Amino acid sequence: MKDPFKKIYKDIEPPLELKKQVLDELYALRFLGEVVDLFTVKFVKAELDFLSDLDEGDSDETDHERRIK
Amino acid sequence: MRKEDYEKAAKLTDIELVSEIVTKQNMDLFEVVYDRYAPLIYRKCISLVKDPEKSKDLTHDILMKVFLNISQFQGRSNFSLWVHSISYNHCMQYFKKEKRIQWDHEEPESYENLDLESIEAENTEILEAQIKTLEYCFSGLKEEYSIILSMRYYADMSVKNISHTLQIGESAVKMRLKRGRDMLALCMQPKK
Repeated sequence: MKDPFKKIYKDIEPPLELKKQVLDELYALRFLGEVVDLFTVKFVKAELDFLSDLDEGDSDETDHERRIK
Repeated sequence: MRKEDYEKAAKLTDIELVSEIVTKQNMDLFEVVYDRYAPLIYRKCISLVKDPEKSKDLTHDILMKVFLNISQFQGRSNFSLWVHSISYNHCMQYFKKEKRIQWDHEEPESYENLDLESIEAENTEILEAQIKTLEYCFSGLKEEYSIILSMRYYADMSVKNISHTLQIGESAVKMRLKRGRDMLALCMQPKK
């Protein structure tokens, strides 16, 4: 029974425009994901790195001032 | 995707393709997965739903589901079985939404101990059927039978897998398989 079943509707192909539609949507989702990642995870990480650099800068200055004193 | 890259990727097995997509985030390879599976999914949808426009929408949604969940595929079963399960599940949801299927959870005891081989040994006329006749008779079946026959004979799924995918008992699967085959055989009998 398996063989005749595999042959039914065999001459039917999906509409050509479907491939473009699916792949375009997928790439759009990937792009959206990258933008979200850029403005959430990466943005927060960059801010934190920046702030921690500032902190380190401040503490260096204080040490230097202490040494002068 | 460049032609030579596509040709190289087309030689990969399903598991290798999925691994490349997941580990290397190579989304261009989705095109190869599309070409491999979209025709199978579309034919399955059209055989069940019998409406080209609706089948196109369902195929689109199924493929998006496959692509967006591909990292969850753990390689424990084969990839085609995983895709088939998603497809049938999605079609079932559609049938339920459209109220085209009445899934009573009857568990017929008489089918519990019936082995699959004896069910499949009957109705041999289906084996010799003309493809067009089979298409015609299959399209006339109720969805609750056509989906199970399609899962068993088109996607080669076991009774256990069908039962797991559709969340119904194995005896209920066997019962529908038997009734579906009987209905197909009846439809194929030469008219007097």
